[in-house]
Amino acid sequence: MKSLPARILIVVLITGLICGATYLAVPDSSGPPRGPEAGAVEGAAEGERHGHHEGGSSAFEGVGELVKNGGIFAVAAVGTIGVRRWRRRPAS
Amino acid sequence: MSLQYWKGIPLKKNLLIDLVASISLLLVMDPRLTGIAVHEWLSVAFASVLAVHLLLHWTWLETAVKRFIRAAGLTRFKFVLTAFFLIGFTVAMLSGFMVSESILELLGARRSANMTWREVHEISSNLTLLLVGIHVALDWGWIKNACRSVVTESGR
Repeated sequence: MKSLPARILIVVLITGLICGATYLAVPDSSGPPRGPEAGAVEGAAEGERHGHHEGGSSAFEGVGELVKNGGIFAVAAVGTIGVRRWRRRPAS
Repeated sequence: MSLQYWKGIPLKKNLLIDLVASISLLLVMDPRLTGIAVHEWLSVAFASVLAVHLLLHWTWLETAVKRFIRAAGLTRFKFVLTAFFLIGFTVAMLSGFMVSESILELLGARRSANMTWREVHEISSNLTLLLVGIHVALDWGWIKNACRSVVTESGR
């Protein structure tokens, strides 16, 4: 049994370790983009700004994303329930 | 705050926190619908709700760690799932922070120009959603019973 501050400290330490490991694992985290990547970054940022803030098809895309996320969630949930039921089936 | 407060949390509050977490996850996962600023700040709020959820179930976590070898297969699987979820969510938060607009702007910093962070953010958030689906399905029995219990209690 641990006190609440100790629990919070453990969570912070674990998440800190994960963050540190991820930062080190991502190649060249610091420094400006080079070559074709520089253009790609600008293009992606611009595209995102248009998509998120300037309407157009963003609402439609938003619904599409919601459907996609719902699909991922449903496949995982229904799949798990299905597997558990199949494992618990009575032996014939 | 004593440990007893967390141990004795009423079922209704527990369920409410889970409900808030589920709804905010659905909204967080849809930045095109909410807009990027709402997405970023809601993610921070979601992380706080998730931290509360984790602290509420600390006793279970502690028991699962201590008895990992002797525990039932399902308990072990749930623990590994929780660990992967924590890793996935932390990676999604970090990568999201690296490419964020509103939060970094408020802190006076510039977002990372590294495209890898975007890919990491996309992959980790989709994987996290998948793990949440499995997590909900594994605890579906508890969720059903808890809802039934709360409805019966309020009906009296």
